[in-house]
Amino acid sequence: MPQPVAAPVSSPPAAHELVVVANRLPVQRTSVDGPWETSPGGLVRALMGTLRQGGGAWVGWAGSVGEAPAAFRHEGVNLLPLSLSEDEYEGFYEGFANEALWPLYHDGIRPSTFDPAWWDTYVQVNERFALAAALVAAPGAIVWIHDYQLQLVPSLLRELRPDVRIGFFLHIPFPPLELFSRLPWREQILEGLLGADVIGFQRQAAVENFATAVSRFLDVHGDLPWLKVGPRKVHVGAHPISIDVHELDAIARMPETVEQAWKLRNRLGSPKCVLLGVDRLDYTKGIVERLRAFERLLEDGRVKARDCVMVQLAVPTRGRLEHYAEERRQVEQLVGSINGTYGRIGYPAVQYLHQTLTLEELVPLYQAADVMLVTPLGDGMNLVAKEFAASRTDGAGVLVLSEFAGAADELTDALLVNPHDQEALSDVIFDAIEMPPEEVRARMAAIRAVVEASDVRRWATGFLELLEEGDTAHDREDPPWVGPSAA
Amino acid sequence: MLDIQILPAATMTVLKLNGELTSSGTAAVRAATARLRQSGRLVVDLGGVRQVDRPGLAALVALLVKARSKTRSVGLSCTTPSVVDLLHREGIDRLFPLQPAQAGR
Repeated sequence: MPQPVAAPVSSPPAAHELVVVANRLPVQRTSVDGPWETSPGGLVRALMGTLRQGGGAWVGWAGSVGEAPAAFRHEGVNLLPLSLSEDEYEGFYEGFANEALWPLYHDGIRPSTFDPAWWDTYVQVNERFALAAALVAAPGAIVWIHDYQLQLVPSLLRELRPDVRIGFFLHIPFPPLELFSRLPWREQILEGLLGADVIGFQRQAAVENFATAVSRFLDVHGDLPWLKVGPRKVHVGAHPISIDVHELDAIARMPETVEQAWKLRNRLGSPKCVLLGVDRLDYTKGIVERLRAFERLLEDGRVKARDCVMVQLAVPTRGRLEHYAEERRQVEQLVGSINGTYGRIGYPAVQYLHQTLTLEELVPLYQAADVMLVTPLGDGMNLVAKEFAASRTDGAGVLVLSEFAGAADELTDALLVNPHDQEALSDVIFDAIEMPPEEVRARMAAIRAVVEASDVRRWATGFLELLEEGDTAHDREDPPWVGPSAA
Repeated sequence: MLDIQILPAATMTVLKLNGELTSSGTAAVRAATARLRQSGRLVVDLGGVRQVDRPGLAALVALLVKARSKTRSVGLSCTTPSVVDLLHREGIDRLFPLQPAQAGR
């Protein structure tokens, strides 16, 4: 009989009371051996802060294919990197997540590709995330899973660790039944999500779409916010995400920010009006439609290029995918066409940047703008709208906001528009340019009040409190099937 | 078919798995998991495992989670290339580093 292994053994890995599971770790580095830096974004900072306080862990992909780095601590948070091979990156991330789910969940703006091989990889990678979460979670821990790449993880994790409390938040829209029905693996996705105890969406419309889908395909019913899933009850609700208001406010009030904003206006030729768009270069953002609306105003003479400049920042994203490459071609062709027709030497009508800016570079841009154009064709929330408002400590600036952005539910004092309606979009941009200063200030004051009241830390804390309360949530209506003794 | 032996040694307990760590073997893993007692050190020796599927992996995870709460230290041992590759691909060896097998010593 073989003898027992006599190797030294290591201490068991620490078990964590709070575990965040997301496609990406909250860190990045510019070179393979470079230092890790915290990724930008209010969500990362809010979750890192919460994890740091509780000695929590974050499970995610480190951002480069191949071998994953060893687990490490960063700013007091334990990070567990998971590996993705090139094939897995293509099948799981680029394929199933971004060519099947992303367009489907964004109103089917582009056709989805449903490849069974991509689905298999999606399942395989979700299993990896679930295994890792199962191994690092302490008994009874809270595990918070994020976004559309990991919709199977809640049920996979529940199988492995029935003792933990599982939350899931979808950052993008959840589609209506007519669209969701197209997904060949719709039942599996819904079953995956229902493994959670608390499921959060950005908008109430998404909550209702999800409830309709589980009722139709899984015969799961309830009385919202509760759904009855076998012996369990699942809380399903809208939790609109926000930004780090304090950080934005601090940057906005720095003298160098204000000075930079003035310099930017001067460099644009000190026009009467600056229009601004800030988006990832994604076909859901409606950049082409926005440029066409501006072109229409130049065409019909309501706006002169010498008086009004549009700045469009298009942040590079998912450039290997054909839908994105095509979007870039269209945007750049249109920018060239508008500038060729309406620009002057040294003064293009559209200033176009295809690059990534830091928040410190963005805030002066927000402050330099008279009109912010946030006109996606579909968007879970759109935090640019909230960043713009938080940056306008001067109380000025007009926000033009798509009805199809989640932010439209809250920022009702913006000029709301249907971006599919070209004429309406042109008209509302013109109205924004012409808006009397008193109305500008009144609307911005109302928008800022909403944004200031919805900081991302409060959002994270609220979701986690709901998850901790679980079935004992005393201030929320109990589901009708829970009797007095169980309640 | 999976055979599990619990080999108490002077300084540690070794849980030795032989056979297929698949759905047919999960009951045996669960039984062994239930028998884990408070101890100083535990090594889960997968050197005799020829095949692992998803239910088998899930049972191993449950075993490791329980072992973590019961023992002062826990390790994995395995030399079968396909199983080592699987543990590596799934990131399990980053949480429970593989110990070099030293059979016969």
